[in-house]
Amino acid sequence: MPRLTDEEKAIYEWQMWIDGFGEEGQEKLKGSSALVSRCGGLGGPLCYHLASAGIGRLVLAHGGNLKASDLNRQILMTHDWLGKPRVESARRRLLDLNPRLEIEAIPENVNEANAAELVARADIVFDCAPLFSERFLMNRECVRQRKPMVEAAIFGMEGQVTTIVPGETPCLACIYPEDPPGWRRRFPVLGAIPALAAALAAAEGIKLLLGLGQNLKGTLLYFDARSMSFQRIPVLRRADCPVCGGITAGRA
Amino acid sequence: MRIRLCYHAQIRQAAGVESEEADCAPGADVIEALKDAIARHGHVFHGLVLADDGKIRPSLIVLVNSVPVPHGTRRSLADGDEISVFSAVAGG
Repeated sequence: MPRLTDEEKAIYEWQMWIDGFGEEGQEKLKGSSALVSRCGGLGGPLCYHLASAGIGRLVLAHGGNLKASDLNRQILMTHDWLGKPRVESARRRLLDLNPRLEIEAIPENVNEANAAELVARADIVFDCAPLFSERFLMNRECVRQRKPMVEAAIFGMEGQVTTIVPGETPCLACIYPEDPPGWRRRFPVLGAIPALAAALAAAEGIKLLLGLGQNLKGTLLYFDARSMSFQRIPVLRRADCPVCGGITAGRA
Repeated sequence: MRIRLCYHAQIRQAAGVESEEADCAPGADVIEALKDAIARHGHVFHGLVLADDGKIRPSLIVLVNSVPVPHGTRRSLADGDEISVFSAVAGG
């Protein structure tokens, strides 16, 4: 495990006071890497929390150029960057916060051609994609490579978070064997809602990397910010799941 | 008998209500209750909730009194039951 510098000990002092975290946890985080699929309304604040907490390396996958309609929620984007690659704006903002962070900024969304390689580069995957094709693709790759994936999703004032550990928990295809009909790239969203889901997902991922507390394994955490209600929904593995049916936990 | 239905995300948007109370025939099951709801809420709601084969769409999680109803199983209802319908979402 990498050792902490004096500067890092000063920066992370307050979180190392958390029971079960300590210097050892901080060193584990420094030695960890994460793939974040899309760094928009969900992935942006999620990356920010991972960066501020001191994760060692981030792989960001996000294609396209910044549009005005991104700016209500994509907090790693800046107004002066309109029309330029989103992932580069994200990289710059994250390095402003944490210049020690190693970042691989991939100007592409996760797709059939790059999914296996991108998942292979990280210890953990955070699924923040707006399209189900990307989500199911990452789920398949994470199961194949036995990598954990934290799933965060929103719609309007509602959000869902769960942690997938292949062979141990239901995978995304167990929970939702098909995508909903008529799902479109455009959806109602207030920035604070994906930011809430992102903060929960970042906490889940950090806990999983450090072995801290209990994760949302086999549990879908649903929230409705309209009523500020939270609900834990049990989800089960499907023996006939075409993606993870029959596999066991452990190395691929 | 009287039941309660709670809708979430796209299902709520299609229904136009967060929740509602409804009357069901004694011995009715979840699919029958949802078919009654379809008659109230129209074709968009129908397409999100039931597949062409009349079964509940696999993109949904359905709970009765907070307990999941496994895909493809029949769940009978009793007076006072609460059905919650959640959908897969993505977003970001």
